[in-house]
Formats: sequence, C-alpha cells, structure tokens
Amino acid sequence: MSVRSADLVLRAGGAAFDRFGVARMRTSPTEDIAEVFTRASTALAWDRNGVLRRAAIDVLRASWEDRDGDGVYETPTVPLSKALTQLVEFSIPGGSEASFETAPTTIYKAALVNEYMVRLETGDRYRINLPTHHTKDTWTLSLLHVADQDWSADGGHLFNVRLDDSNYVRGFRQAADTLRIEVKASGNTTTVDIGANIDAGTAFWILVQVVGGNVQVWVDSNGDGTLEASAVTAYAGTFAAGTYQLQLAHSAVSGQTAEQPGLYSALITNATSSTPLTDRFASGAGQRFATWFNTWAANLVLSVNGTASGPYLGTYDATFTPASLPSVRFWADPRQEVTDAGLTTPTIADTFDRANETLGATNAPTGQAYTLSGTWNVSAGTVRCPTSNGVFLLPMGTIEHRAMARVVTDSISNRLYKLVARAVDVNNLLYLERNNIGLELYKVVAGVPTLLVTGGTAATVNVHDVLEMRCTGNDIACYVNGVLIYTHTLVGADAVQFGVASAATNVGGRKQNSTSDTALGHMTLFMATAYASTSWSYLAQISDRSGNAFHMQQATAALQPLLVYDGTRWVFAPDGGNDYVKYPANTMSTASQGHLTVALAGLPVAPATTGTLFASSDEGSGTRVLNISLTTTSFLFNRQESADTQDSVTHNTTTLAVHTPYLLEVASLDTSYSGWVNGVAQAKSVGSGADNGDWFGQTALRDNFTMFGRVRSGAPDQFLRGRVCDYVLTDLAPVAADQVNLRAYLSYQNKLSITTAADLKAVTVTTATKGTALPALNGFGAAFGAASATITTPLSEGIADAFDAGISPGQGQKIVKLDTGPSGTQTRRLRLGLAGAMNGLTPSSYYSFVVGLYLKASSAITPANVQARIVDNAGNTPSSPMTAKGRWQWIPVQRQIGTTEAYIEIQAEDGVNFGTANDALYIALPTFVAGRCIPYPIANDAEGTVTQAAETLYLDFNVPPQGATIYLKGRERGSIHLGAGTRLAHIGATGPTTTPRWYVDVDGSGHYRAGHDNGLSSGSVTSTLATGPTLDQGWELLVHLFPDGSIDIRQSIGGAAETAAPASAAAALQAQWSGRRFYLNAAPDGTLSGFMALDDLKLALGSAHSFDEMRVAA
Amino acid sequence: MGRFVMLSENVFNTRIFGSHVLSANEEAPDREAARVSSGRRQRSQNLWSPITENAAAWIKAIFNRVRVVDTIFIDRGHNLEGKEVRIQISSDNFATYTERPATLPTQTFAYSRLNQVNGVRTEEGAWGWTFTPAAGTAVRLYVPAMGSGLRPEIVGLYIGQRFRPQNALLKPFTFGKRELDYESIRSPTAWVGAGEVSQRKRIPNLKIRLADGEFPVARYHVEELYLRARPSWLVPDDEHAEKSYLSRAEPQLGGFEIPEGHSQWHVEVDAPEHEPRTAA
Repeated sequence: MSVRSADLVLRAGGAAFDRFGVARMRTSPTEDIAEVFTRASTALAWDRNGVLRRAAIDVLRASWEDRDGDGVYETPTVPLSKALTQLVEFSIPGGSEASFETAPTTIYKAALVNEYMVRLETGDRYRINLPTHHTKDTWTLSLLHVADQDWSADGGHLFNVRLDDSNYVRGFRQAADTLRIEVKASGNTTTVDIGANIDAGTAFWILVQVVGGNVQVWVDSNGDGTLEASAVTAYAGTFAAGTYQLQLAHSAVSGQTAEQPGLYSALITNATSSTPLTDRFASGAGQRFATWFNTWAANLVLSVNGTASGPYLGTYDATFTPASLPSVRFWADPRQEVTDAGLTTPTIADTFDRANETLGATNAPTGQAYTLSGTWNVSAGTVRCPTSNGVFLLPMGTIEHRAMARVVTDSISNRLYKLVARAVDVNNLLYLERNNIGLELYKVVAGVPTLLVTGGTAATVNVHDVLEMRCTGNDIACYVNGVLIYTHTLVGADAVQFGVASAATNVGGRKQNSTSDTALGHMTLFMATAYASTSWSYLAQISDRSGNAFHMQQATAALQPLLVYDGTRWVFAPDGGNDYVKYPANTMSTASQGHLTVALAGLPVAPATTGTLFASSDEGSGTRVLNISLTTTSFLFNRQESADTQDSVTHNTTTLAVHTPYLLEVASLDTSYSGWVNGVAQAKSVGSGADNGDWFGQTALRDNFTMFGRVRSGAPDQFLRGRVCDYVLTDLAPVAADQVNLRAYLSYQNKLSITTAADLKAVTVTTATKGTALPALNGFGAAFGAASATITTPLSEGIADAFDAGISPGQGQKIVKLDTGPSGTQTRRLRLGLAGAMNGLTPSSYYSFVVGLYLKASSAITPANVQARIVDNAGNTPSSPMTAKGRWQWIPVQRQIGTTEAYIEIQAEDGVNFGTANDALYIALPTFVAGRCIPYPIANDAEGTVTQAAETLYLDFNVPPQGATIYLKGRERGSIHLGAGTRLAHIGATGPTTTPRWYVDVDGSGHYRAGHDNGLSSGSVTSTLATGPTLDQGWELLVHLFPDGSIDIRQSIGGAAETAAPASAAAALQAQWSGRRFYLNAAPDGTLSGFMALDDLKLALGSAHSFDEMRVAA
Repeated sequence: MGRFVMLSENVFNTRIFGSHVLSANEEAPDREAARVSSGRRQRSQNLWSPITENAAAWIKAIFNRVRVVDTIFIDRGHNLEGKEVRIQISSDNFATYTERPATLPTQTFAYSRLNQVNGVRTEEGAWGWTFTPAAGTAVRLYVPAMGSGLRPEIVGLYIGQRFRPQNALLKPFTFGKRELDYESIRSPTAWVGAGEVSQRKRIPNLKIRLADGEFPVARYHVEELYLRARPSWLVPDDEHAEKSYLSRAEPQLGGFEIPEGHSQWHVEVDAPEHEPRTAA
C-alpha cells in the first residue's frame, strides 16, 4: 500500500535537507520545532564543493559525501558519531616543527634540510669558523654526505672540527671501508672506528657527539634506516680554548690532506644536554637528520646546507639580538618594519639589482618568467628598453592585483616608461603614465593606446615617481608616491576586456615612442601582489629597535625611502635622489667612540656621488658633520669635521662590487678609525686631516642623525642609492665576540651570502629551487638504495603552492607535500608517529585512519599506487588506492595492530617516475582514532591530541504505538563492529524493559536488529538479520511494527535485493511509548552510541509498506 | 520551457523565522539591517547601508537551526550592478564558510536562466540567482569594497530555499495580462485628465498540478508562506527569469484541492505583483 503524504509522520536526515531545507521534514504548514542536537566540540563536514567546513559546538553537520568516487560530493547526509580522540598529536603537519619533538617517532622529513647540499669537488675545501661561544668540548655534529663519485682512497676526509694539530675531531675513510673518527685533545689521540661498506656511490649520515670527555658515533652507512652505534669512548686530554673551525672535505692536520668530494649537509650544535641521542632513533629509521635538526635547533651553532642564501658569515647565539649589545644606541631593522606595517611578501618583485642582462634571461627573483615585447635590458640596476612600445609582463594569476614601479623620468617631454596592470597580453593592457600633464591612465587594445583618464599634477624633471595601480573589480585606483590621484571604473567593453571577468591577469611595464634606452628614463623597482595584500611601504619612520626610541623620520612623502622586497629579503630602498630619514637631535650619541655596522644587501650601481650611510650634522653650518659613506670609487669612508680640518679616512682594501651583499663596519677607537668589510679589517688612506678617531663627541653643535643623506645647512645632499638592511650603532669600541656575533646575526637574518675565510670555497648549490629534488644519488632516494627503501624523499611542509593552486582541502587546513624525487621507481612514504609506548596504542586493538590525498601528477603516475596504511612490525593494511588525479580523495583504512610498534603511513609507489615538477602528492589532515570505524577528519591544529565529542540527536515525536514502518537509509561507519545494543534508532525512554520502546540496533555479531519492548515482563521481542554490511557499505533498513506488537526487519545492502529476518513473536502494543522522542545513533541517555551517516529516515503509519513504497514516499 | 520557481522562504525575514538574528558590519542611521526584510520597495524610505565607503561590508542572518539555502533575490533599487557579491554560508559563525560569489549583471537579457553564472537582472532591475545549495546556521551577504565613494545599498534581500515544482504552470503567464492603473479625472464635459504616475501590475492566476509527494513541500511554501502574505519572488519560467517579479498575496480564495476527475493535488492562487515600478 503506497504511503500517503498524511501517513508519513516523520522524515529526517540528509534527504530532508534537499527536500525541506532542514534536517527534519515539516509535517504541517508551520515549521515544526527543530531537531535537538548536541556535541560538545566542533567537527568537520564537507560542503557541496567537497571542501571541509567546520560546524560549531552543538551544530548539526550537514555533509555532502562523494559516494561513487567521481569527485562530485553529491549525497547529503547527517554524520553521527560517538566520541573520538584524534591520536595524531599534530594532525596538521604544516605547523610548528617543535610539536614533533614529543614523539619518538614522528614525521619523516629526511630531505627537508637535504633539499640543498653543497657540492665540493676534488680540490675544493670548505672551512668556516665556529663562533667563540661554541662550547669546545660539548657539541654534536650531524653530517649527511653523498659520495657521488668514487670514494677517495683511504684517508679521504669528510670533516674536521679543528683548532690546531693538537685539538680536533675528524672523520675519514679508514681501510676496509670503515669510518674512523679521530679525536685529538691536548695532543692525545683516540680513535673510534665504525661502519662498514662505506664505498663509492653511497650516501650516509653521521652523528658525532662529544660530551664531557666522551665521544660516541652513530652511522647509517647504507641508507637502510638502521643506525649503527659505536661504543662510548673516553678520550684523553681536554680541548684547548680557541676558535674552532668546521672543515668539510678537507683536513688541515699535518700530513693528512686528502679530501672527500661529494655533497654535504652539516649541522653543529652545542649539545648542552647529556641525554643520549639514541632516543632520537628509538624507532629505527624514525628520526633522521632534519628532525634532529628541528629538535636541537635552539642550540644550533652552524648550518651548512647549501641553501640558496647561504653560507652565512659565521653563526650566532640564538638568544642574541643587536638590542642586547652593550651601549647599543640605535638599531634599524627592515624585518620588524615589515611586521609593524603588516606587509606581506609580494607575489612578484624585481629590483633589477643584478648583473646586466637581457631581461628574461633569468626569471624575476620571485620566480616568474617574463613575457616580452621588444628588447628590455637590465642595466646598472635599472630596466631599460630600446624598443618603441616594448612591453614586459609578469603573470599575477588574478585580476585582483596591485602593481607598483618606481619610474625615473629624465626628460620632461619623454615620459617613456609606464606601469602596466590588467594586461591580457602585450597588446592589450592598461598602463599608467606620469607626464607633463599629470597622471594619465591608458588602455591599449590590439596595440593601440587610448586615453582613459587624466588627472593630478604635472611631473617635474628627473623625478623618481612611484606609480601604483590598485585593481579591484572594475575599479582602477591610480597613485603617485602613495597618494591616490583618482579611481577609474571600467565600463562597457573596457570592463569586458579588462574587468573582473577578463583574462587581464598580468602586470608589467611599457616603453613608448622611442628607441633610445639610455637617457630617457628607466624603471628601478617593480612589484606586484594580490589586491588584498600590501607588500611595500613608504617609510615615514624607521623605528629604533634598540629600545632608546631614536626613531628616524621623514614627513615628506616624496622624500621617504621605500621598504621593498628584493626577491630575497626586505630592504630599505632609498632612491639616491632625495630620500633620507632623520632623528632631530644629537642625543642618539654624544660618545667619543663607537661602532656602526650596516648590512648592505646590494648596490644597484656604483655610487655616482658620495652616498651617505649614516651622518650627524649641524644644520646651521656646513662645517660640522660626521658622515659614514660610500665613495664614488666604491670604498667605505668616514669623514668628520667640527669647524676644523676635515678628517677623511677611506677604508680601501675592499672595493664594493655592485649587486653584492656586504657587512660594513666603521668604528672609532677614540684615537683612530677602523673599518671592516665582511669582517675583513681594511687598510686606511687618510685623505685630509688625521686618523684621530674623532667621533660624535668631538663634533660640535650637531642637530640630527640621518640615514641615506646628510642634512647640514642648505639642501640635504650625498644621497645613497642602494638596498640596505640593518643598521646597528653602539657607543663602545668593538668587542671581538660581539662583533662576530653581530656579523653572524646580520648576515643570517638578512640572508646575506657572505664568505670570508681565504679558503672558504664558493660552493655550488646543487639545487637552487626549494622543493626540487636533488638528482639521483644526491638525496636519500636512490642514494639510499632500492625501491623498497623506507625513506621518504623529499617532503616539504606548509605548502603554499597547493593553496595557490586552489587545492586546499578546507579553509584553515594545512597540508604537506610529498613531492619530486629521484627518477626511477621509488616508494615515498610519510609516516606519522604517536606518543608513548607502543606509540600509545593498545596491542591487538583496532585503529582507524582517514587522510585526504591530492595527486597532482603527470600521466605516467598511476593513482592506484598511492595508498594509506597502518603499519606495525607484523605487517600492514593498505587502504583502498587512489582512483584519480587532480582532486582530493579521502582514504580510510582500519587495522587491528599486532603487539609491536605501529605507525601510520601514506605511501606513494610511483611505478614509473615521480620526478618532474608537475608531480606531487599533497596530504591533508591525517586523522587516526581508536576503534574500527570510518571517521570524518578531525582537525588538530595545536600540539597534543584532541577529542571530538559524542553527537546526540533526537526529534520530538508524538505518535503512539501502532502499526508503523520505519525506513532508514545510511552508510555503515562502524556501529556494526560495536557491542550488542548499539543504537541506530530508538523511540521511547532509557530504562528497564518495563518502559515501552521501539528500536533498531546491532546484535554484537555484525548484524542489525529490531526490537520492541512493550513494558511487560514477557513483552520484549526482537528480529535479527542473519547478515550485515561491511564498513562503509550503504544500507537500507525497513522495520515493521505490526498491530500485534510483533516486528520484523529487512535490509538491502549496497542496493542489492532485500533480505528479511523472521518476524518476532507478538507483544501487545501499549497506549504510549515511554518517551516522546525519536533518538538516532544512541540511546536516550547517550549510551550505546555508534557511527552512521544518516541519508534518510522515514516513519510512516501502517505496517504493510514495502521498501519500494517507502523509498518513494515523500 | 523552464519550470516555475517560487522563493517565499527568506531567512532574513524575522516574521517568518522569529528567532533569526540579523546584523551587519555597520548600519548607517535609518539604514539598519532589519530593513532588508521589511518587504517595502521604496528605496527612499527603506534600505540597508553601512557607514564606511569603499570598504568591504556584510549583512548576515543567524538561524535557529541548520538550513539549506539555494536562491537569492536582491530587490530593485540596489547599487550593486557590476559589483561582486559573495553569499557565504557557515556553521561556525564564519570562521569557515562555503562561498557562492557572483558579479551582478548590469543589463537585462532575454532568455536568462535563473541558475546561470552571475544570475539574472530582472526587467525592473532586481537580481536573482539560484546557486548550488549550501547548509549552515548562518548566511551572510558579503560585498567587497565597491570603489571610491561607494557603499552597498540594499532595499530588499531574500535568501532561502526555493520551491520548484516538477510540473510547469497550467496557465503560463510569462507574458500575461497586466492591470494598468493611474490616476484620472473626468471633467464634467467628459474630458479626461490622466495622472502622471502609472502602474502596469501583473495579475496572474497561478495554477499547478503537483507531482507525487510534492504536497508537503508545496504546502509549506504556498500555504504557510505565500498565503500568509509573505513577500515572495515568482519566476514564471526559470529560463525566462528576467521576468521574475515580487508578489504579495492579496485577499483571495486560494490554496489546494484535488479537482474532480483528477487524482493529484492542484494548487491555485492569485499572484498579483507587489508594488510594481511606477512609470511616468
């Protein structure tokens, strides 16, 4: 008998969302009272787009699921779950590194540091001083070495931590392919031999720990993940004090000069703890180089890893800042200016501060390739174009963007360089031009310019205007030097071609109407970013970070230097024309001695005039000033006069090259001046006056301190054009240790790649692009052996490119990337460990795991080779493999673990080659819970485990006992494996069987069951199915309550033909149920809860309804 | 031919959903958020607008339970043409949310589909759009910065779940009759002086034969909402959605019946246009 609408008294679940817009149907014209739902935590659900969204506390989840794996989240459902604990301590691996420290087995990041290695060829020697605060007899060296050519003859040296021939620790190949560690302290020699089969073509990792007179070594010599450990060996003597050096591929020990070529990454730390490091490797191959690095980073002394921005000038104490120096007076720091201004790193930046080249020969420093029309030349730190109407473009990828350029105009009638934004291609774009009329916005369609807007005021000759276009929607806001001149709204055809729905996603520059590229202007800075971000700033103030509040200021916009990103670092960028900042008093320093350190990121061009780094002047005269500057011959220079003879001293050992970073220091020792460039003391040439060390204290009537220019009487002068980072001024003559610390700090913080030691080779950075694997043999992959190697390589974190590509699994969710590696068949694995013994797991228990995977791969990659698994030493259970590329797939897996240590793992077996830039596996939100279920992802964005609270749902229900039919449709998510009585649905109250109730539950043996208690002692009847679904199978249940109180239950699993359980005996119906509520997924008291995804629930009056009738009832 | 669509449910209408809470990031004086659900169409007297110009703005409704929404109408008189709006649906008060963005068209096109990208500009300047459904406990209309000197102005905002019966109207009225109304004075000598303000009001009779199982849903939308005189958007043909109009039930005899000789429920109501645009 078909179900009349009037007889369908209750409907709920995912289908109700589709039909009624709410979780339960409206049974009357007025909206019924709402369902009652509780959950004491937040939880995640997928929206219709397949993106994870968060439901707040006590908010029912409406989730759409992709049931057929086609990438379309087509089925609305209501997921209901008992309480779960996310056992992965940090389920979003993109977060803090430190969070992994607590777990003995955490995440494989073997290649995190190893993405870059320095290559040392035969004859190359690498040596760098360790800082003086390095503890000479308590330290640990971690060294990864890849012998990509034949291993040297016996005696080939890998490393040497050395003071002199009587004090060192070195490692070298010993006969019989063993590694020998030789310790020599106070002239006494001790040796430790370890490792076997160290030979050509291998990569191995060495950890040497020296603590309090003992040395111990660990080696993984064959890449099998197993560490071989030496015994703890006592050495005689103590290490003498002094400046030790770390030498790689080089031994300066007398009579021992053979070096070991290859690729190197090395870390050295002050290991202040005597805790044996073996716990770092308790799980065999669990933690390796990079994880160890993270653990001990706080004690990091030196890192040599070939990063694109290293090596740096020494290292520094992690607690050191310039503000901690004694008598510090002033500290300018562009990084903190960036933070204060809320700036973000621009998507595109090019300061053209590199050797002359044809534009496009290399990408922009931020990585984008140039698209060119005509010829553009990088010349003397500018970009110029000899082609009439030439255009350069860079891809922004979005029409919502800002573009900025500093355009230098050399002639009032030849305003030739334009800022381009909203460019479709080189012939269709918008550009902004500052000219003798004002500011003009043009469109170029099919190469033909048309004026759109004129406004503003005319430019004067030789101005260094900064033009900006801020494009949002159809509005183009046009700025000059930070001042909004006008906003133009695109309409009509312009809006179609360059507006919000257009393909005008490029930015760049344009040259017009001339074939001269010499004296008719140029462009010196170009940057662009997404509209929502701001990525440059005019500096009205450079704040003093020393704590003394000597802030340098410039109120006039046109005179303010820019804070810009040069592709590597943030820098102050004075234009050399009129920019300067000033502190308007002499109180910053009145000392007679002092020390100024300036981190210079680069000079785009040799100084055309004396360029002021720092000055203090009398504004009432031109004869009282102390300035520290760069000469037109590119030397460091200081000049002091106080209405007397000028004392001019040029520090002339090092000629500063353009496009090169330097650390510049000038000090007064009260009696003389000193200068250093990159830590190298400079010879001096006294041009006039004397080298008498006259400093601020000897310069009378000073009114100011200035940067980038001098302000004496008359017009300011001697402006600096450059890219400058930190300034540190102290009132003391330099103390060597502080000087070393400061140099290291500034070079490291500003990513200034600076070398000093005479034999510090300019090493080859093997991999220049982060995220790109080293070639075969160079990383852990092939170098560490066979396809079955258990090393993950390489893995990088916090993958912005995934989000850039729009493949975020959900807002706020972070992901990791298992990306390119060596060519050939490789197995890549990400392992996540858990805290405690047995990783906190109970032996022989079931655990469940769900992970989001996104395979971005070339056609050669087979998705089916990507899978997740729970592994212990007794075996592993892989999940269902991936089935497609280019979309998120959520892979569940369950396993009953054995009695040995377990972890969870995502494995990618590429089968062919996982080695191109287009290949990557993104991994999101691993969720690992106890029990046998199909969990929804549980986000854990803080260290430690998190719990998702149990969910309870009931519907008020006022139909007394009578012949009726319940139809349930859903997805088995784990209830079938729970104990007898686990509820799917329940009408009535909780209590003894004397309370009339009607329910659907499981029998504890993997079957669904229906029950009816009429409240009488003999009135409890059940009907139990003989078979049940498996995990994640879809099911439909039909439960009849007959007028005599008997019941039966039928099921259809996965759409198959229905099967029926025998009807129960009769049990007379009572007048009413013991409660007027219809509970789902739990008993009324919250017990007996399970797991389900409720697609549909219908309750119809009448007990003669079939599956087909209930399916279509609406 | 398309199908009839009705949007009677409006999560911003606190007379329908008394426990819903409306708010906006800013409310200019006499331009409070609650005005968007008043049903009034006079721009001069009724609209929501924030205070700050050229800044992102939003207006939101927080529900009493999880609801699915799939359709929006913004009444004529808004200033969002050519601008982007984002309909955001959240279950955690917008810490995370599902977003349906659209840029309002600036022109009215014939044969506009209600679910087409960026929606439909109706003949009198309202905007309607059916988007992929999303569920949550709150919905927000987010308007990015509109440009110098501009801030959103919204006279009427309607977001809810549409009713789209399977069968088309029995008496299609896409191009149906209108009632012309204007002030006129007849002089004693029978000269007629016509007033300047006129209305051409649609006065259709809406009649649909419901399909199996549609009755409960139709009862909610028609009986509970439309026949309670809730302002409702009627789309006679969702492939001619530019002819959508706002209707408010007037006193009438309407509702459901199973006509003699039929086995299906039929619904019939008079659906006059509500305050059509006046023309000089």
